[in-house]
Amino acid sequence: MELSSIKDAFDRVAKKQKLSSSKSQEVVDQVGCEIEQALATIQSSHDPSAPVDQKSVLTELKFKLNAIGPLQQLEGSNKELNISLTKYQKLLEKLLNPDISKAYRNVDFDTHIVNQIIANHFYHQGLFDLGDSIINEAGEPDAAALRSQFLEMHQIIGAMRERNLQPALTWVSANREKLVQIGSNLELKIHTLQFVEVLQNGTRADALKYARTYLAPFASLNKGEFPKLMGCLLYAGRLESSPYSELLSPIHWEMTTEELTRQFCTLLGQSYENPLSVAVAAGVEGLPTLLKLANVMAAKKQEWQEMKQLPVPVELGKEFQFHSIFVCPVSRDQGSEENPPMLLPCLHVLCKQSIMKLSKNSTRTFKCPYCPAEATVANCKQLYF
Amino acid sequence: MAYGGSGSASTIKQVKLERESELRIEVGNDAPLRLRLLNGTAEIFGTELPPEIWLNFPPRLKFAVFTWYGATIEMDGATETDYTADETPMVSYVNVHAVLDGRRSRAKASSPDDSVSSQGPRVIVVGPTDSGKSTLSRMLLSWAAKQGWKPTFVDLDIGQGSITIPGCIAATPIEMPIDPVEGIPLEMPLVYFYGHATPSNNVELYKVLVKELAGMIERQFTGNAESRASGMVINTMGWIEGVGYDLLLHAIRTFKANVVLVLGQEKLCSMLKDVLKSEPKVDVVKLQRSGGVVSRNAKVRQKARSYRIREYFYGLSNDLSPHSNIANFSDLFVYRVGGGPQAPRSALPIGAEPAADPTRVVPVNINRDLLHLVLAVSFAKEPDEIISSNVAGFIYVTDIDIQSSKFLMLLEVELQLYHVYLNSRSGQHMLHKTVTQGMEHLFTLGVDYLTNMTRPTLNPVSQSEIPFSPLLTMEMDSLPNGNNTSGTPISATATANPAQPPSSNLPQLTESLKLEHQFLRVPFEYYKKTLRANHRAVEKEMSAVISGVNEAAATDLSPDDAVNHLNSLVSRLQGLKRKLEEGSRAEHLQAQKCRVRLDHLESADAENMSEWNNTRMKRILVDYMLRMSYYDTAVKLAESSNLQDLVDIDVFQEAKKVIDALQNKDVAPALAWCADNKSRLKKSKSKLEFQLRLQEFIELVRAENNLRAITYARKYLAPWGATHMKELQRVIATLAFKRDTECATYKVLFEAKQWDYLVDQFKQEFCKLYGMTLEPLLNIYLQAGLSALKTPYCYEDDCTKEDPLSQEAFRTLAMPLPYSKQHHSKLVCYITKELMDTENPPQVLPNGYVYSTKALEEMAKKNNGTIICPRTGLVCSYTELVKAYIS
Repeated sequence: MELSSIKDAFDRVAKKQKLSSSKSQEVVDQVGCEIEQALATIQSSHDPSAPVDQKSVLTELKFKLNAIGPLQQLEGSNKELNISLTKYQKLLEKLLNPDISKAYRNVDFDTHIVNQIIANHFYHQGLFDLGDSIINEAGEPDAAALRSQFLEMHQIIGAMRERNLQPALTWVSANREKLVQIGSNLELKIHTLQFVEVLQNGTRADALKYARTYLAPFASLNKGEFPKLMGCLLYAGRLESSPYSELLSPIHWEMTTEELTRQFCTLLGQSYENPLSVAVAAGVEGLPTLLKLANVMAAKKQEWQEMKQLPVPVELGKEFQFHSIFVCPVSRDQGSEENPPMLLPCLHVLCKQSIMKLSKNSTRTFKCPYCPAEATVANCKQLYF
Repeated sequence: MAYGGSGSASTIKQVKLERESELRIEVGNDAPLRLRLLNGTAEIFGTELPPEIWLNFPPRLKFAVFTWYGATIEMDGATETDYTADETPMVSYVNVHAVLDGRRSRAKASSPDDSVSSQGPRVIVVGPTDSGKSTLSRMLLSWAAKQGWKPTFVDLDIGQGSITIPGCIAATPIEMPIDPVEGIPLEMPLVYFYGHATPSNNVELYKVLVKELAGMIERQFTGNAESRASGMVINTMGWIEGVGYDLLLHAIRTFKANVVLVLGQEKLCSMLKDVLKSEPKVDVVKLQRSGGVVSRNAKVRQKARSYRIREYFYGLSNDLSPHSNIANFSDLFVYRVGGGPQAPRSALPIGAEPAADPTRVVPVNINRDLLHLVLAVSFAKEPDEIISSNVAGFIYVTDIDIQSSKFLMLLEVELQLYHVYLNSRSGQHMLHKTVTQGMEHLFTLGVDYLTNMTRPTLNPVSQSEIPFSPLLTMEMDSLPNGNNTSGTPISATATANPAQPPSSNLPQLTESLKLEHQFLRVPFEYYKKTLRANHRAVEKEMSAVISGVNEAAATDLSPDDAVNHLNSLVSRLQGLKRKLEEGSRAEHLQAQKCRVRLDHLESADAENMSEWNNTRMKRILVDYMLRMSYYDTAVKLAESSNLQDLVDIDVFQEAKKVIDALQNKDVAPALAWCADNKSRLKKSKSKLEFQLRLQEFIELVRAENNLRAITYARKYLAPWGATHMKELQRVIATLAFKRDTECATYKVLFEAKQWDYLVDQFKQEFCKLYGMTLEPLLNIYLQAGLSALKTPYCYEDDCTKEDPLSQEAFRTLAMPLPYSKQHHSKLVCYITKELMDTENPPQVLPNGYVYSTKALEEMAKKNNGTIICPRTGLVCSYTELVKAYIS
């Protein structure tokens, strides 16, 4: 990417614009000066001592202005400016993709769905004013279904940022059964944070009471952590100078806040990462390939608006890999329930259809395409990713 | 002699064959033929037909179904011709087989230490063109395989390519009867590349290759008693006179053939008997040519070669997928065999003739002369080993980019172009690739094949961690390549800008910045608009002043009038000066905005990528809301994130005024906008102004103000008559029909939705003028992203929530979009959600479930070496896991 050449071209535009502006001022000054001079001459003609012919003064003024040629000067500097403007625009079109809508299929997105997605995008990020605003302007009252849940989530997060764990504790208590179902230990982590706060700001007796009340139920499940927490009791009020000072690190609050956010979204059936951001980011990565494809398709006069599958792979980064995808190295078909991946005795993997073909429908042994090992269909085992 | 049968049948047809008779079939050119054995027993070229199972024969195939004791055959489909023959040489052929079988048994019974008596028959089949040599070879091989032998098939016919593509000599073991449809399987042939369809191009090279092949087989026989006892069957060319005859003798001696089968040529048989009379233990047997052998002219042969090459790359029924690869010149060495500079006669001893060394290996400079050639990939590690080395496979060069020094190679062939190559005199080419780990394995593989026919099973534990390529196809980083069954690749895509996986984020970032044309263009257009407006104002005022001076000079004015006139001109100029200063400030502000955006693009780098992406997301959302007229939300979002300079709110505010007026049935602001942009709209042949005028006319007609309507038409519509007469006439006709007309042609013109149409038209012209896309940026990116993410797995019940397509709203949007295409496996660990790759390879539990090594190691550490499958609950030991190699 040559941003520097674009910047250089724009600098030339700006320079020409300044020159043109100065030239205009200069021309106006020149013309004004000449007119004022003529004016002074005419006014002085009222003196009897120096009679002047008014007509000749005006005629001379006309000739002087023609000699200056103000319109031509303006036109000249403007032409130079236009040349650099045109060059800049051509450079933009050359270095950037001038029309990214070429890759757009003629499929109209449902505006209501898009607006709903945007509103949820804002709610997900805690931008409730913006979410409400687009719902009002677009007239989409139904899109606010998730607002109250996200509001609750952001209230809890806001409180945690101010070291107030009460809303979080209330929430995990209310959702304890669901959290246990998904194997979460969030409740213990939150109680641990609270315990450390009590230990730091209260008395040893208060801390002990808290541990007995809230930490004891988790003791049997977390044998490794518990002795450490109990050891902290010896250092009530001066934890920062104890062997356990690490427990005071802000990182624990950040990690617990993030984990609460994840669990909250999970129970909500939503993703932790904003789905609209993910989809658009994938689009930014995929669009260059699709634009090249659109050019090729246009050249070949093929109708690509109708195809069921993209003809070329669009390579996305690791962050966009959500599923295991198996592609048979022989047939290049994607694995599916009808055509699952199979492990050969030599530990290479092919799809079932390729194995059937190589073995002539199970009638004979076949050779692995990668190595000299031979196999029969019975030796191959189905894989599950 | 032959009777019965009929051509061009198109329905299921049964043929009853008497004992020792043959049904000869030529499949049509356009459609395959299905055939099955109903009862009795029958064979095709030595391979028995399974009862009642349909076989599919591809177009153009010619074959015969023979029965020893009678059979009934059923056919479905059209044939070029089919007929029954009751007079065949099969009895004499099978007698030859019986004799050979006896020799094999005696050889097997001999002591392995006795290399002479333990050698099975070495059969060579010779005869003129179209005498049935290939068919006889095939029968002898299949019959032997059926008896449990493993004879070696040697194909010296470079014009046909029974084992691999034409232009090669090759050998392969035959362990099963040869498939009547697919022929000899390509499992582990030994191939030497000659590069032409006839040996006359380079006789010496052909001889050298034959010798190499024979030597290699000899080593194989030395190490494998079973192969040695089974012997070999050698197929030869049909060139039996002159040099061809000499080559036949050379082959017979080089391969030490002890059985020479001569088909259908008395003279050749007699000559060979005379010459070989002095050779001990060489039997020359004359055999009759079958009446069913089909004669083929040179054109048919050429076409058959093309199909054979295509079959190599795509499979007999288009079931293979060729790869495309890009290689750097520096990674490859290309050599030619034969040719090279010749010494001038004056530099030679008197009487000596200059001659190119036919077996010399010459490096080839890579240039576009290599385009559309087939190159062989040699196993040689040094150039001087090329002639004596066999080849791993073939590639076809589809493009060469001299500027960036890259090859584009597709493993496919343009059928017609191959003719040019085969007929050229440029010699043959071999491609010598720098040895990589994969090539080392291939080489080792070849050695295993050559020295030990038992093919020991590799111990999986000791096998290389990196799976290497299949033997016959070189596989490097894959290039995007569509499923082109037509055989035409999307080479333009690759040529324009090969899509390589980015080694870092930098190329990706560069590509994404190239999508930001609108981002830079819109403020620039606004800037230009301001420049133009300011310039026009200056010109207008200056012209007025000049005219004022000229006028004063032309008329007689009183002194006071002259003074007043000049004073007013001075005032006007001073006013202009102030306007100029204001205009200059506005220009500067807009130049600043352009620069801010350039700086913003430049600020994108690895450190602030996350923040930059977030800002881009917001920009895209503001763009969407402005286009949808959600101005309040757009302004709020821009202000809350300090995006004012990065979004185009002021531009859309301008559009908003016009749109609001149009929605109130007022065309005045739109017409003013058209006047402001008159020259550019004219350049792009816009008809927006015309449509606005038409609508205003319609409103006058609706108000039944016909006189004003007519006046309006004369003034504003008439100028458009030259270019839009038909449309103009239709609208004028509304004068004759009232606004409540039922005539459909004119009724539509009075409908309120015409105003919606005008709004849309204005929006399009507006976007075009400012260099904006017609669609919201959000829709464009969202469409691309959803297509790239869309796989069948997204719609499964247990789809991870992190996938946008796990949500109903996104699924609905993605419904009409195409699925993404996947070229490589990408495995995500069920436990950790991380990718499995060479650093974190997949491991398989005994129940077939696959997880990543890291996750399983951690689980084993936590559970004292025990693994519990999270999906099935199976309990097993960590030592029971096996690694899977998935490419």
